[in-house]
Amino acid sequence: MTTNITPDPAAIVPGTVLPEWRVRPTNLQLFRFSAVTWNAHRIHYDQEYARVEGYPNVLVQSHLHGAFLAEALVAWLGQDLLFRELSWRNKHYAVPGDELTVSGTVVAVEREAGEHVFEIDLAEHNQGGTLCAPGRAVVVTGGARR
Amino acid sequence: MTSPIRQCYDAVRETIGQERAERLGRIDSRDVRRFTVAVRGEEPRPEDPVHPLFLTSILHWGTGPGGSGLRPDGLGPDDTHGLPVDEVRVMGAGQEIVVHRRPEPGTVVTIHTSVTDADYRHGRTGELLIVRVRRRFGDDSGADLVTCHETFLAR
Repeated sequence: MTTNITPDPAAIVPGTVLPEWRVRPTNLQLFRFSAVTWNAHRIHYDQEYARVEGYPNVLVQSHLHGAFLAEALVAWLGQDLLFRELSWRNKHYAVPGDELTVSGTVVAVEREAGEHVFEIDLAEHNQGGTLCAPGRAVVVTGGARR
Repeated sequence: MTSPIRQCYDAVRETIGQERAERLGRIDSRDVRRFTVAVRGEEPRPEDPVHPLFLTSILHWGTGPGGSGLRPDGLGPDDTHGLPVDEVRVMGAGQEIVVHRRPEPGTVVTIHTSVTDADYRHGRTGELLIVRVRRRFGDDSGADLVTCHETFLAR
């Protein structure tokens, strides 16, 4: 996974492009995510079942795609980031070994009481350029937050 | 003869607007840290907050059934939020979450679940059922924590 240097929030404006964040999910990661979410769907750990369903390998969980979008923002803006909204759609599957790249662009900024509120369009693509998960987030940094 | 997907659609339509309430239990700090390790691949700091998708990613807060009680795909009967989808293949298609207040370890969580919409399509690739479910997570004082609209596809 890639990490970034946290930017000055005051310097972030509409049109600011996030540094790309990359992750290569592993079988271990899928196992742990299924375990902690108590998700027993075989598509995430049973390779033979996944192949019968028409996939080349077990699949990255829907929610893990969303979590990767969140992680890209945390890597950029820091652990103290507060999420107000987060959304994504699962458009294409990913399997262990895929290199997933999360990119994003700030589309709106509000400054209120020392807080910086950013609305950000996000996209997760695989190594072939296929869009796996488009998303959007509204996040807050700085100030006294909830 | 009505197809399983169409039967499922008709059954889901009947549930629109009906809300189920359930007490899920207390957020365990160990589970919060494990979630972060699973997502991030590294140990969390003690001060790391609960991940924004922690509440909305967990399929089951109890033990669920033993192996013989699972569907052929591995899901349990309660893993699809009460949707009557026993005979079809179900997959998650995304979420829209709004965080009202960041949950903390130790918080006792309740959930209110309802189907908000269902759509049936029959196209070139076959039948498709699209279901939207709203889940409202709150604490035991009644305050909202997270609202999640999740989309499921069934084929």
